Amino acid sequence: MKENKKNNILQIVKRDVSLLILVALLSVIVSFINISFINFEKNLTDAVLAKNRDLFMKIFWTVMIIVLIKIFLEYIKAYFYGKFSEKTLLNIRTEIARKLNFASYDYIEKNTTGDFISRISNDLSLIQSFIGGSLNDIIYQPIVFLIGLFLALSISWKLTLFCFTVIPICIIGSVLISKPVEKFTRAQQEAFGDVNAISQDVISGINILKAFNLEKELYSKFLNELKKAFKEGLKSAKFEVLIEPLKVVLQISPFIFLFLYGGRLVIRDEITFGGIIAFINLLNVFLAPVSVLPNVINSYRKANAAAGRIEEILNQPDELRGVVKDKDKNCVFAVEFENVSFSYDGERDVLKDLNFKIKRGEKVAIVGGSGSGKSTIVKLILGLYKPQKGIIKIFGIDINDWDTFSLREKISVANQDIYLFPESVKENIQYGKYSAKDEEIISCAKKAFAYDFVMEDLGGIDEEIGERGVKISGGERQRIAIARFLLRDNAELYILDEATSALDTKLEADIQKVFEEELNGKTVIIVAHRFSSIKIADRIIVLENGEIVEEGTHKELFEKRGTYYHLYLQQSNSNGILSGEGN
Amino acid sequence: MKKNRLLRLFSFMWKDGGNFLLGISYLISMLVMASQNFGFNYIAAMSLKAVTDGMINKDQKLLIEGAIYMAKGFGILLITLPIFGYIYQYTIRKTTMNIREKVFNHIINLPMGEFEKRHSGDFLSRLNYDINTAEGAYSWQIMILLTGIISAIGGITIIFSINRVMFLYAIVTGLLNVFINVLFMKPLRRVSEKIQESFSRITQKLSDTIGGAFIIRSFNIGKLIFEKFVELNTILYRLALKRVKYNSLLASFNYSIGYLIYFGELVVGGILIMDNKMSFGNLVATVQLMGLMSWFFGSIGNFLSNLQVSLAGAERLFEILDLPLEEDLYKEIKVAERKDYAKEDIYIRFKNVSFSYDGNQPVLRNISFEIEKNKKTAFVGPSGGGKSTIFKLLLGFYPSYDGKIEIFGKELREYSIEELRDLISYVPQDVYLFNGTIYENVRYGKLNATDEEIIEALKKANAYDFVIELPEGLNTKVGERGLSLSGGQRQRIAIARAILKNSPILLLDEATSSLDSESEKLVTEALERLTEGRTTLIIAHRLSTIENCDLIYVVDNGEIREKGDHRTLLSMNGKYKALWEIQF
Repeated sequence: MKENKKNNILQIVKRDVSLLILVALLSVIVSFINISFINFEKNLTDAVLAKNRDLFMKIFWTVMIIVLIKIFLEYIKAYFYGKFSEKTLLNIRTEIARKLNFASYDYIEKNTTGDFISRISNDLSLIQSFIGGSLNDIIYQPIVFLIGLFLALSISWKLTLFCFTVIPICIIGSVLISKPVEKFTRAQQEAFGDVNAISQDVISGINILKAFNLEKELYSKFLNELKKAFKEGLKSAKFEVLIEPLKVVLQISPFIFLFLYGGRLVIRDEITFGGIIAFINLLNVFLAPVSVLPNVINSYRKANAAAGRIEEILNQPDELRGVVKDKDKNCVFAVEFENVSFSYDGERDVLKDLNFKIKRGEKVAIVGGSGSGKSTIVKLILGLYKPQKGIIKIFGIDINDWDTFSLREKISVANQDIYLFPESVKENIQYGKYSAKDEEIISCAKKAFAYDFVMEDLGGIDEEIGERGVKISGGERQRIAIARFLLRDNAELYILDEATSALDTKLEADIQKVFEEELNGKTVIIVAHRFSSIKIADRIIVLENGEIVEEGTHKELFEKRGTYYHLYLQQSNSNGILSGEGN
Repeated sequence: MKKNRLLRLFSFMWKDGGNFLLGISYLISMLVMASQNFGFNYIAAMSLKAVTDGMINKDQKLLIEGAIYMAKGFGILLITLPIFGYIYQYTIRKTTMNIREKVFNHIINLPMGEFEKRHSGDFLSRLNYDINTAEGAYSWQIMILLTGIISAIGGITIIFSINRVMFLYAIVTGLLNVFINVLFMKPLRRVSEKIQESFSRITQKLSDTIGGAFIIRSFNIGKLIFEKFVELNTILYRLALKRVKYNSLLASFNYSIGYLIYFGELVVGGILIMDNKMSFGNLVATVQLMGLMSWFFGSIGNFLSNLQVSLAGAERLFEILDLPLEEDLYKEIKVAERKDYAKEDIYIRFKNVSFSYDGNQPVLRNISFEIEKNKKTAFVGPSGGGKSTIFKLLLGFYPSYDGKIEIFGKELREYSIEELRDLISYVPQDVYLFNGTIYENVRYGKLNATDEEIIEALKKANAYDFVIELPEGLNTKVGERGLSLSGGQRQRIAIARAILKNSPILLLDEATSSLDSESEKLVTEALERLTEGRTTLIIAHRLSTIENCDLIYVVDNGEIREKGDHRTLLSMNGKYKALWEIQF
């Protein structure tokens, strides 16, 4: 378990490990060539000082040939490495998309915020920057370091030893002096956060700002914070300019010491001058891991955490589905709820011991205040959630036994969730029945009173929603959703969940008429808050706090003077009719 | 065009908040900072030369002299750099602060239409992201460019003085380097742009699968949506591979050519040394100086494209700064003397007012009405009918209407914005509370109010009791970053603010969301106190406030359809009645 936690990034990387191994092998060869160049330079220098022209030319030509080989090797190494990282990302993205499409609804509903997606794309880019950059360093740097160490030892063990005493001292020094930078950076960022908070605040409340003549007041507030941030920035700058020179000293001092100590060795003829030249280059090789290490560690940490979050998404179970693919033809009921209880959080029951049956061909309305559990019933019927207690049967088959795909083929739903995909209007409607012809789509759009505004405002059903800067209102979105709902004409159960809530009363009445015609003889469930939208129902179920409190026709319920009557009156009152219809 | 943007960006150093001293300080410190690189390298090259010759000639004294030379030279630089570095940082930060201040001030003084046109995030990203991007131009891009130029010219001059052949070599290879970079840069950038585009489409698709989760499942279109994603994803992959190919080519050539240039120096230098035309120390110095130049030539393209990004950021700032301010819309104001409004009986008069937001679709069509002193008037009708537009016009948000709007007998456009808005109190539909204390939020009604006045206003608004119960009383922080209050509580704070403002005209946009009965009662009571003795215009969504209004206007499709009190309107059996009844 712990092992797993530690190696999230490994889980990601191992998807295309064969490419990575190839890259590692190429890295070894390239490192070897790079270090050999250092040795050639050493020999070339010594040949120059010895004025040995033959050796000089020999080295020259050898290097030329190796460079040609190296160009080719570097290319294929970079190419395969790039391919590896892009392929890995491609696969992760695909897996995420698959998961988001097929994971249980429960999981998605918990993460509906746009924040979730921005977190995913942020995580992906963290992983990308790790496998696109730092991973390469992790492979290449140790190899070149080791090979370099061999060369260094073969030239002079004294100088090698010298290098490895000086380097750590300088590293520790530079780490120590840059420590306080963090503190300053944080203070600066916080101050800057305050500045941003004010700008955001002011823009959100701009109408108040204007109506109350607050321009000057809030401007001076902003200026105040801005000045504070400026001061914090200066503090940080003061510190940085002071340590910057120290850092430079620490960076160059290994080289100065190398010259002083190495110079003495040359003068004593312990090594050649070419050896010094080689050591300068080797020192760079030895120092490189030090300068990349903080980045690598940082990038690894971030990527590992990101990979952990991505894995968490990928480990989500897909929707459970049973095996039954068709209805029980002998069952007269479309929907049966037997002692159904349901809770989202395992604590508070949203539905309590619910019992009701809906016959095929019946039109039933479910009404109740917000939070009464109406929409939950719809989600249960669609198999988006499974009840914790009791049995739900759709067309005579237990919801747990249904193959959810086959079940949903039999259902068409229009709900208050008026999400439209940023594709063409046509495609959005077409999702109701993907095999539908253009004429069918247009005819449904017309029935849903969506055609005219789509042609007028968007300029055609093939136009993409969200383009041309046209905003679509909630009511217009609902009409497109209703067109989609109507297009699914092979469904056997139609569910309207607050589907007309954003329409004005006139339009709602017109669409009610369309429903009456189009859904004639079909099983329909209408979930509504507004009484105006349940006119076509044969029977009404009144829900309160997850329980059925009343059931019957409008007339029966009205005369009963119970919950329904009160709900009804309340709504009529708030809508301005003082005398109830019962009079 | 580009020059102009750059110049305009830099102009913030000496005008618009900057001054001559700031500009000159920037210039001097930047020049010093830009020369430091060459300074370091020059000292390094010279001391390396001495050290090398010391080693080769087995002259320990020369070796130590070289080291001391380096220590001295660096010592001087290390003392001067922090001083100029600080001045440089100061001037940059000061300039950025100036720009941010200017942009903010401009934004808040923009006409209301600009805010409705744009997403609020747009302004924020300009204030935040674009300013930071633009800062790059003067904080490092120009400096680095100058560093490169100084280093290149300085380096080449010294190499020239050392050896002509090496000089020629340096020039040729430097140009070669630039050429190769330019060759690859363009196609690479083009592919990168395409990848960016394709990537944002991918993100969009992902967020679709979240936003459309219900539809995807209930209509069984998961497979379809997934296939569409895979298609896009594959396109992205292909583009990315194309970039990988370019990058690999660039990398392999760059590394190898970079190395060849360096190795060539050794070879050319080696031959010169063997011909006794140059000392080895001079070769080492040349190598040191040329490293600097090839770095410059190799990265100049990169800096230029960075500069372009910064200037694009600056451009987005200028776009804002070039928008006309709200007060510019009132340019034709003739400063008429202020009327004594107490003497007027007709407070507000709309005479044949027509208005359209976009110049095409009329929102108000030839509307006329009068509001009398101390009367309560309600506007009802379907949303989009024009009710809230009437309010916006009264608040002076859109002065480009046709017809006349008179307030206390004087045309609205003849008031100054400040004067006009002083006459009007506004209680919006969605109460927005600024980050800050309750005290501050109420005080915004009257900035110079005393503590007693504020408490009095809170009491009248039925808000005082709950406010003093809060953990820090009046000083409790509210808004997005503070305590979240209930809808009813927020409304009462907004009412207190309006009470404190105490202006003759009150615009009240009722909240649509219903409150629980307890807080409903408190709000209603507070509203009664607020509207008492005040000329009030109400956009009504609920019945409670309407019944005791003196006059009700039914506004639909930009026109006034009916007028009268509640009883009259009901008995008219017209629009008003239908409006309610159609719900059944």
